[in-house]
Amino acid sequence: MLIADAIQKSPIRQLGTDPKTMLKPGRFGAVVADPGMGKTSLLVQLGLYALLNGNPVLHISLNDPVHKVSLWYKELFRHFVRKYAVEVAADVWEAVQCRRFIMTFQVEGFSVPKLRERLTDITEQGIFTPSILMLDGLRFDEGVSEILEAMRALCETMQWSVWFTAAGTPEARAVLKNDPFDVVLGLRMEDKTVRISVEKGGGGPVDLCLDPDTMLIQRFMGRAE
Amino acid sequence: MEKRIDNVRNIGISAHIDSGKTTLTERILYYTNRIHAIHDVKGKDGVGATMDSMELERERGITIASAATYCEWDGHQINIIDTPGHVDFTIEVERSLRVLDGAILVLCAVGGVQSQSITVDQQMKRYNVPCIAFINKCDRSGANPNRVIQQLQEKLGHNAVSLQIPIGIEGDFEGVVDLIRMEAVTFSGQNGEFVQRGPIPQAVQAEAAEAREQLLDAVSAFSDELTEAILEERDIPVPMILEAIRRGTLQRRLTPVLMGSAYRNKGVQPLLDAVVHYLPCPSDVENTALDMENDEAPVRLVPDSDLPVAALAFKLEDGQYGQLTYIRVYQGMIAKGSTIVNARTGKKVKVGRVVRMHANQMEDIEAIPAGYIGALFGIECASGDTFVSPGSRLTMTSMFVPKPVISLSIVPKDNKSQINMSKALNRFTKEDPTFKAHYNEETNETIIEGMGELHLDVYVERMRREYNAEVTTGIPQVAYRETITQTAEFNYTHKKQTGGAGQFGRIAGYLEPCEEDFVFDNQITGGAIPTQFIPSCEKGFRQCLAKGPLMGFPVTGVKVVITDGASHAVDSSDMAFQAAARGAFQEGYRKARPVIHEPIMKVAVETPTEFQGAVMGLLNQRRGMIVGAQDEGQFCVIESHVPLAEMFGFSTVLRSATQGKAQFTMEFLTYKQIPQSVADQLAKKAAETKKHAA
Repeated sequence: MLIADAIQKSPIRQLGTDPKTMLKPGRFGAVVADPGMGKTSLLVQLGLYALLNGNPVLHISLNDPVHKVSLWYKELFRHFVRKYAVEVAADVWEAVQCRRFIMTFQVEGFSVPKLRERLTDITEQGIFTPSILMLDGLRFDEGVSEILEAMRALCETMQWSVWFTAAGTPEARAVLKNDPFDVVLGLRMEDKTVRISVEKGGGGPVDLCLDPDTMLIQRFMGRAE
Repeated sequence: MEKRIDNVRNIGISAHIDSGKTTLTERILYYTNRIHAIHDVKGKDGVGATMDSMELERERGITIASAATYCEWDGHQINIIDTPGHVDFTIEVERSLRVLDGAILVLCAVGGVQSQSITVDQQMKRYNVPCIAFINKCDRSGANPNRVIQQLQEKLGHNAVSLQIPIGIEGDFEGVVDLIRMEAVTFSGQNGEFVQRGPIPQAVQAEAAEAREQLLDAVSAFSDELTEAILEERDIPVPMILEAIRRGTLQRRLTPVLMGSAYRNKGVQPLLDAVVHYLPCPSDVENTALDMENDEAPVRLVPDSDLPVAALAFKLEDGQYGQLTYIRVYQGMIAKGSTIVNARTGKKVKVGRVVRMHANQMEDIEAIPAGYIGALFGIECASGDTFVSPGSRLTMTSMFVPKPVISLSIVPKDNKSQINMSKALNRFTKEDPTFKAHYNEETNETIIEGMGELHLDVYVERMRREYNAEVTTGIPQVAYRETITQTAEFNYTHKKQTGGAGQFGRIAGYLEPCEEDFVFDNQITGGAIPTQFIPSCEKGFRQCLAKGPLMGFPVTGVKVVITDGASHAVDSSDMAFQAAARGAFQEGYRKARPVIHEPIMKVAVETPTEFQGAVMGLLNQRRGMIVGAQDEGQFCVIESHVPLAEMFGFSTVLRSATQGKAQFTMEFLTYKQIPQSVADQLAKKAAETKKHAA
C-alpha cells in the first residue's frame, strides 16, 4: 500500500480530512484527558498526519526533551507503516523530518514573547515556517488565559492554528469551552479501552480508541475481553 | 594481591568534556595514598594531572588514552579506568565500559546533562553497567544540583535519587549533608584530606529532612524490611538503607547521586565510600563468553581463580619495553610463567611479566586473579582478543567497533620521518581499532582514517611528538560510499581467445540492495558453474567492492545472487570466472541505479540563547536538518543532523559567530544519499583529478 492510500484508509480520517483543515488559521484545538491516558500520543499522531499531508508542523513540548519528542514521532510512524503494510520509500520519513521542527521549553520558562522571539529567529532566515503548532504540556491553571490571549494574537497574525494538550481538570475544561477553541477531543477509559470522543466541534461522534500496544488511533471494535 | 573478590571494584569514570573527571581521579588517587601531591589539569606547576600521562593530553587539557590505575579504599581494591570525554574517542569509552563492572557518571553542576553524557549513558545501557552519579563543580557560579538531578531523570530516564544535599552553593559551598546518616560532612586540611562529620546546620535542616524522606521513599522499593521499618516508624539502621540502595543500583533501577567539587577538594571521600557500598564487585555481574565448540552457545563465566582462564585484552600500548596489554581476567588466573592461548589466532603464549598499572608507572605482581584488571608485557595480540587456557574454546563477545568516517592524506617530509611514521602508524592502528591506515598507490600517499577531525589531529600530533615524524597533511576527505537502489539483472560472458589457453566463463543473476555490506548468494543448481569456480565468482565480485564503478568510492549494501552460468571444459579457470564476475558486476551495477551515500553526523550545539538564530543559520547553511531546539534557561541546545563534508572548520566558525561561548559535539549517525547537486560537484571534482593524474 502506498502512503497516500494508507492515510486515506486510516481511521484518523474520521476526525477530519486533515488536522489543519479541522481548524481554521488562528483557531485552537485541544486534546483533553487525565494524566497517563495518551494525550501526547494523540497529539503526535495529529502532528504526524498533518506532516504526511504536507503541512509544516512546529511541535513545542514543555515536558520532554527534543530526542524524546523525536522518538514519539519515529515510533508512531513506524507503527503506522507496519500496521497498514505501507511500502515506504526511504525519503518519506526524511520529508516528514524536514517539515517538522521541535522546540522545547521548561514549563516555567515558557512565554509567548519568548516563543515569538525564537520563532522569528527561524522564520526570518527561512529555516522553517510552520502552518500548524502542537503545544504539549501547557498548564491550564491561573495564568493560562493571558498566555492563550497572547498566543491567539500571535497566531491570528501569522495565520497558524494550534493544537494543545490539557489535563482534564475543571479549570481546563472551563477554558476549553470558550473561544478560540473550536475542536476539543477527549480521551477516557471505558471498559479497559482508551476511547476518543469529540467533545466540541468536529464532524460529529466517532468510534475511535487508542491501541494499547502501539498507541495508534484505531476503530473501536466493541468491548475489550 | 588481596584475593577476596567481594572487595574488588572495577570502575570507570565517564563524563562530558570539562566535567572534571581527570581532576576527580587525581583527588581519588591522592586520598587513597597513591600519589602524594595534587597537580591540576593545565596546572600552573606544569606537572599536569597524574592520569593524563601523555604530553599532548596535558597541553590540551583533555584525556586521550584511558589510563588504568588501581587504589585502595576502606579495605577495598578499586581499579579505575580514566576515560576520554570527547566523542571522537568513544571507542576508548566503549572498550572501558566493556570490561568494567560499574561506573561513576560525572556531571557538571552548571552544565548538567550534556550531549556527551547522553552518549555515554547509552553506552552504559548497552553494556548494562550500573552507575552512580557525581555532580561536580558545586562551587561554580550557576551551580544547581537539583536541576541536574531533574535532568538525569528526564533526559536520561534514570531513577536518580540524591543521597546528599549541598551546604551552601556556588562560592559558599562548604560541604554536604549525608542524608543516610543525617550528618553534615565538611572537609578541612590543605587538600581536604580531613573529613569532619557533625550536626546539620540549622539553615538546611528542614531541606535535609524533606530530602531524606524522598530518599527513603525511593529506596524502599528495593527492600521490604525498609518499607516495614518506615511504616512502623521504627528507627532505620544505616546498613539497611545502604543495602537497599545497593540492590537498586545493581539492577540499574536506581542511580544514587552524590555531589561536591573535586577542584575544591570537597565530597570526594564520600564518593569513594559510595563506590565501595553501591557499585558491584566482579561476582555481582554476569559475564558470558561464547563456546566455539558448541555453536557459539553463551557460557557464564564465574570469577573463580581455580577455573580455566577467560580474559579479554581491552587496550594495547607500545612502551619502551615492548607492547603492554591491558587485560581483564573474567575467570581463572593469569600467573607469571603460565601458558595461555589467544583464541583468535590459536597461538600459545607464555606469560612473562605481569604488572599492575598506575597511570604511566607500573608495579610487578605475581598474578592477575579472576575479576581483576592488570597488564601483561611482551604478548603479541590485537585489541579485543580473548585469552583462554589451553584446550578451552571460549571467546568473549566482540566489541562494537564503529567504522571510520573521515580520512586524511599524510606525506612524510623526509626519509627518516617515513620510517618513524610507519612505526607510529603500526602502533596506533593496533591500539585503536577505529583508526586505520593504508597506502594509496595511485596518489602515492598514506591515508589515515578515523572518527573525526580531532581524532586524526591528535594522531598526527602524536606522530610528531612521540616518533619525531614530520608529516604534511592534506585536506580531510569524507568517507563516501556507493550503493545501489534497485534490483538489476546481469548475464555476462567472458571470452578470450588470443592464442594459447583461452578464457571462458558466463555468470548470470541479479544484484539487489541489502542491509549488510555485501552478501553473496549462490542459487545455481545442476552445476551450470562447476562448484570449484563458485569461490572465484565471489572473489571477482568482492574485488569490485573496493572501488565503485560510479565514482570510485567503496561499494556497500549489495547482495549478489547468481542463478545461472556456463563453463568450458578446457578454457574455464579461476581467473576466467573472476574476470567474468567483474564484468557481470559492472553490467548489473549500471542498471541498478547506483547512488553516493555520505556520513551524516548528529551535531548538538550548546549556545547562549541570544546566539540561537545565528547558530541555526550556520547549521542550515551546511545542509543541516535542524531537529529541534531545547531551552535550558540561559542556554539552549540545538540538535541537528549535518553531513560530515560540511562540518570541516565548523568549530572556528562557531566560535567567531558566538564570541566563543558556544560549544558543540558531533558523532556519527548514519549514511544518507547525497543530493544531486552535490553528486554533480563530486563528479566534476573526480573528473578533474583524473585529468590531472593523466
